[in-house]
Amino acid sequence: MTRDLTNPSPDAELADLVSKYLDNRLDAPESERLEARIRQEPEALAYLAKRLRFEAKLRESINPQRMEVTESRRMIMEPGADGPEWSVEQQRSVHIGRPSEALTLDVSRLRNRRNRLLLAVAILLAALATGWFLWPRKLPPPPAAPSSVVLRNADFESTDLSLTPQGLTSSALEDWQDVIACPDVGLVEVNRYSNGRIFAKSGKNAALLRQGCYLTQRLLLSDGSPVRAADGLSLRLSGWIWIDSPPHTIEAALRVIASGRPTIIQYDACMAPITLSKAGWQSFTIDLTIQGSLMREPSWLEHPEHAVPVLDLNGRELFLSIDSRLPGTILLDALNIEELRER
Amino acid sequence: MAASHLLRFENGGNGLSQRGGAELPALAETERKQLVFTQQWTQHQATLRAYLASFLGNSMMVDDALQEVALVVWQKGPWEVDPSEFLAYSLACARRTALAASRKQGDIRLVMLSPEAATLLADEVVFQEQQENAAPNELMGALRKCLEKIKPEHRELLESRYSGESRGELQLTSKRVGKSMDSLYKTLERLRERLRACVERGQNPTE
Repeated sequence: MTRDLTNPSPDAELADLVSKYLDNRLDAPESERLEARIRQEPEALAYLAKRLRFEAKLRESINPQRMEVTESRRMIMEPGADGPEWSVEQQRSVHIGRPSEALTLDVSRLRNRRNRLLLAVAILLAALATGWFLWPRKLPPPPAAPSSVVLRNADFESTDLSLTPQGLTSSALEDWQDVIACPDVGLVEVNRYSNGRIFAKSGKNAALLRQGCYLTQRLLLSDGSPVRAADGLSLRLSGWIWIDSPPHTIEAALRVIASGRPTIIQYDACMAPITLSKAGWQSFTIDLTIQGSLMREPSWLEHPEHAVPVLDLNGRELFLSIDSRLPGTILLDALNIEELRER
Repeated sequence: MAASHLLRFENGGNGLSQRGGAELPALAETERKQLVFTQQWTQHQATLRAYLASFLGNSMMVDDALQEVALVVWQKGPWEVDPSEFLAYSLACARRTALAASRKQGDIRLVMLSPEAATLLADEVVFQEQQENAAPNELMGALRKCLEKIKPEHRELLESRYSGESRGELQLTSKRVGKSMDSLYKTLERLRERLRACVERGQNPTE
């Protein structure tokens, strides 16, 4: 078939219809008209196809799909009958998603060719380091590292869901249901639960929250001692949230829980909203800062009819709460917390 | 679902893999697969996008479908043996994915071409790609050069249009610059025309 349609010139109507089609602005009658024209006129079909091809190239040039290949290896040496035996655990993942940078490829052939040399150097360095540590001498006691705030089970991977039939459980949110638990919170193996549509941001699992649900964790320092409320304490919470229907707002708070179920009494030391304007996974960072007087009215009373006093939160143990009050389902994953100021 | 999700899939990493003598095992095979996939995907991605857009119209649906196609092609494609099969296999996957996606989106108020017209259009896209004399990388290179020549405010407008949430981004731009959406769409269309002409001049400098 020979067709000289490399530069089809459209009439004004076709140009307008195609322009609207490309920008997804056609209404139903216009769509029908465009469809009729491309069915009846090969030139119109060729023009639309040509514009579509250029549109794809434009999109790929301005906002190219990012492809990222990452690789991790764990090398284990074991004594064998004929000398040392190496085993290599290799994991490689490819990410294809919306990009802001060019395609990246982490693996280098050169590095592989150097494996043996690098291995020999690694063994030599390990031997030197071991010798240095074992050499008898008096060492000054190491300085104590300052304790930092740590989140437990921040990636929601402490429970293995691989044997659960649906990749979902509603009762295994370890470390995130301290004192008060929300029955509609779930732990999901994201890939299986979404039938392969989406994946967790770290590992396999994420926390699933429906409307009115919350996660609560007693905040601890790395030495196991509790984090206590104080004027000036500032913690930065970051992580990933997935939502399907924007806009959506969730709340993060540093709280004192005076009483658990059935008579929940909570006081907010500070609270900040996290507003999400687009669907899908998105990272967030929010600073939770306690300022000024810590005399607080209760922020939540299960039974408002009971009189509850104003409380001085100073020095009381803090909980991190993440609340989803609006309709819709959200996923949370790969959370992290860090202190912003010396206390 | 928006296409901002990273699609992640894993290859060959399902546990302790290889055991050899005193030497480390060679990893060349998976690397070869990865390199071939990367080269082929980069080369054909725009074609696949245009093909999917014939069926789906909406750019976010196209993004999602493109990711899905990448996943299937990486995991199941016979292109590992013969890389020349890559495009044919990817197009077949794209057709299935697009038809499934358009059926799934039937309840959404999105005006799309009928499956018959979309198929006609998709076939025409592939026909034109096959007739194209210039290599895909050459065309993309020419387009990038043309993009470098346009004014910053026009570049910004294009970036708003071709980001994931194009309508939302354009609405923000419209408010910021005090121009109506219609006016922005007209400017966009003029820019596309100008860029197309620029690329064609680059391809046929004597014309």
